[in-house]
Amino acid sequence: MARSTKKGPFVDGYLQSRVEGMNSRNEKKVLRTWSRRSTVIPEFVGHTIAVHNGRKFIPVYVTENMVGHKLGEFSFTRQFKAHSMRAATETAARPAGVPGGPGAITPAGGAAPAAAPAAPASKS
Amino acid sequence: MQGRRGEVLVEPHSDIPDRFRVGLKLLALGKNEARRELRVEELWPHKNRLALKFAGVDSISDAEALVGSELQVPRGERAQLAPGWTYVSDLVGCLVFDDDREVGQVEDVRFGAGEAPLLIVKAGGKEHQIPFAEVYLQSVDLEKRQIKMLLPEGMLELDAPLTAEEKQQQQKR
Repeated sequence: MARSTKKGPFVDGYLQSRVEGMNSRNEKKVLRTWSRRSTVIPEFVGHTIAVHNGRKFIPVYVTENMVGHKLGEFSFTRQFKAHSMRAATETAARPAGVPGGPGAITPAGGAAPAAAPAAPASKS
Repeated sequence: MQGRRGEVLVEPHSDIPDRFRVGLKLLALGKNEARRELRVEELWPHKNRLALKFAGVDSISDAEALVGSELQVPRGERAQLAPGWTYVSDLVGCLVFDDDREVGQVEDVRFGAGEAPLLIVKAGGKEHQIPFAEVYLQSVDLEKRQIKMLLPEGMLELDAPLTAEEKQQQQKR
């Protein structure tokens, strides 16, 4: 069942007070926390919060789109091992905070792909 | 294995939509580290993957030789990126500087649930995870292989011993 809206989002008190303190001092410092259960509130935006994943702290740069989610959602506790690629893949990254969403890649004429393991297939 | 004409299933690792097309020439890097040139003759989507038919690969036994291969294109033929975007393969190997202080070399870029990809930076035996966020980024010079950042206090000391305040918070949980 969803949490009652009357209560507002849950945030551990010490975390909220530390972030509010940093905001009042206009300070940017990485906060280490174990509070995976805390909800991301607008005051957190722009801060980097290192969230413990049970083994180590994972730095999470908080953006507007994260508001309303729990901090723990951004600090994976398990690591998915994908196919190991010997060569570079055609994957692109952009720094968070740059305008333009996914699909900002514009294919150039005559360019070709990087792709991966092939397996015999069927035409069904 | 059901195909009889040498078709292969391909798992795309490219962010470029509609990357494959008929007539496209690719290099297949096999398990034996040998490269073989291939030309796409026919293609169709198949369960979130692509089925490709290459010219000259016409039987199951021909296709079996390609199993586990990596399909590659020359670096110069990659697609052009929109401003602000960088290929992960270009970031890997770059030196990261925090206000002129060398932090280490980018070994990998990890995409998590957050918006900022994490740069995995190795310095000696230490590993740092640094969010690739615009607010910390000063410049990316791919020719010099340098990423200049201005990191906030504590970013490189995530595994430092706990402070008294942090110990108190941990006990309160």
